[in-house]
Amino acid sequence: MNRRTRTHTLVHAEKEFLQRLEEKIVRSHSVLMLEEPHHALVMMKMRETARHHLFYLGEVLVSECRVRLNGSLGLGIIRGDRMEEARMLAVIDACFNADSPLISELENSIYEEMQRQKEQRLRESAKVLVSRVHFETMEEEVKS
Amino acid sequence: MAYVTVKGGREAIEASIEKVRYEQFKGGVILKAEEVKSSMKSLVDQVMSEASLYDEDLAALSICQGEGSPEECVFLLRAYRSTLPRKHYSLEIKSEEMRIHRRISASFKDIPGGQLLGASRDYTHRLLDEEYFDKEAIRQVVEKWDELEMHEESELQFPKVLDYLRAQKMMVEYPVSEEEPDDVTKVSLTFPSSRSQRLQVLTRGQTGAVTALGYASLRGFGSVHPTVGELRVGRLPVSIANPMDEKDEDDGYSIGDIEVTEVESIIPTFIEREDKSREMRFEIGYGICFGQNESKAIAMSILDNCLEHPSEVPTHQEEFVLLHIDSVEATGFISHLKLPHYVTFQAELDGVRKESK
Repeated sequence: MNRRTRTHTLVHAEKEFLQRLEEKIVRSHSVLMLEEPHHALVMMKMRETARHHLFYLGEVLVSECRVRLNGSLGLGIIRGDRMEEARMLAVIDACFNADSPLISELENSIYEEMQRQKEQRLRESAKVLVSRVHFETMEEEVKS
Repeated sequence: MAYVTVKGGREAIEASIEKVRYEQFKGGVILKAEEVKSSMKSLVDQVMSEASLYDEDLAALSICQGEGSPEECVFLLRAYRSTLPRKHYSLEIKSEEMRIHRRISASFKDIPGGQLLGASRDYTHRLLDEEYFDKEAIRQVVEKWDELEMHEESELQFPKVLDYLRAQKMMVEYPVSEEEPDDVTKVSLTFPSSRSQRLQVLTRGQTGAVTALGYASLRGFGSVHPTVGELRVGRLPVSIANPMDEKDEDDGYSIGDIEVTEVESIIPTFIEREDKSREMRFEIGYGICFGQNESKAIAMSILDNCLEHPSEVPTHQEEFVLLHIDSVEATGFISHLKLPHYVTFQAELDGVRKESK
């Protein structure tokens, strides 16, 4: 599982899920805080579809944190005011970067969470699909 | 003419500021930010879009503090934003990755995936409902939708409606540009502007101003009258590159997603063939903004196309459009007229007195 897929699942997970993973990691590893969780901005770069140019759509607030674990850096970054989640994400990221023996156990949990999120999305999709238009074309009136 | 320092008024100003809070709180009903976020989504979306800062919680707080005045809320958010470091730029966001929850086309009846109305007030009677807060009715609608049966599953990602016209070679084609965008928050807008500057200014424009100028174009103060090829509302995933290895996008960090409204409008145009004859094609006017704000996105798509075809008509003049649609700039300049102009006005008064003697 690459980092982008992993973090996509993690940033959409409940805080309690991240907390469980973090607790598992800190039981086996010591974690050094390099940058306390703080707010920052990410400028979003978008590709428009009329003339295929890049432009800046605007900024988004993020919470960000950096830690070190077994000599490896970990970055936690998540949209919104979510300082604790940023720390948890940084710890999880550092654990993966450090090739910890916990990785396979963590990955299994993340795969399960990914599946849960997919099922949730599909359930939510019903609320959109129910508003799909089914056009009926009226037969042309024949004039006598 | 020299400026004259005038002292005084400090206590009056302090009293005025405190009276704002008194007027807001004297009724005893105080809205919390979480209530605003939950029940005033359209205003939250508008404020985020005009502030060019995406965060529902901050926008909701600004709405409470600014008493729902969009210009005040936008000012508060822009000021807050200026205190934060910009530490990252996102990887390129592609609208094809949008998870859609509303998507319609005014150009084609049958589109791949179908027309999905989603949540829209377009089909409601605009009648004030005195029973709007009826608790039983609210409970019933929430319960019904929470327990909706699933008959079909979908990730709600669909191809662009206009891909059909592209495949038919009916669109004017443009090459993909890899030019890094300009940023109007770093370097002031100059003319002639770049396409990236125009789109950035339009997307953060004041909803009313963008809509008014788009409307003016339709009424004849411009020459663009489009058909909405596709209007989609949905969530876009946002990622940043790994600061240690920026080349591998799969090694980047997902930070979450944002909701946007995106519009592709179809505008007929003529292209010149090699033999100088003219052939009709379509081109796209592009509109996008934070949240669900469909009028603004459609109006932006009109103005985008207007500005790609400069002319003497006001809505086709980039300086006229781009310098007048920013909320903070426009309301700031207008409201500066409230500041003391005692000396300037005295000079005018003296002039009138001399003339009348």
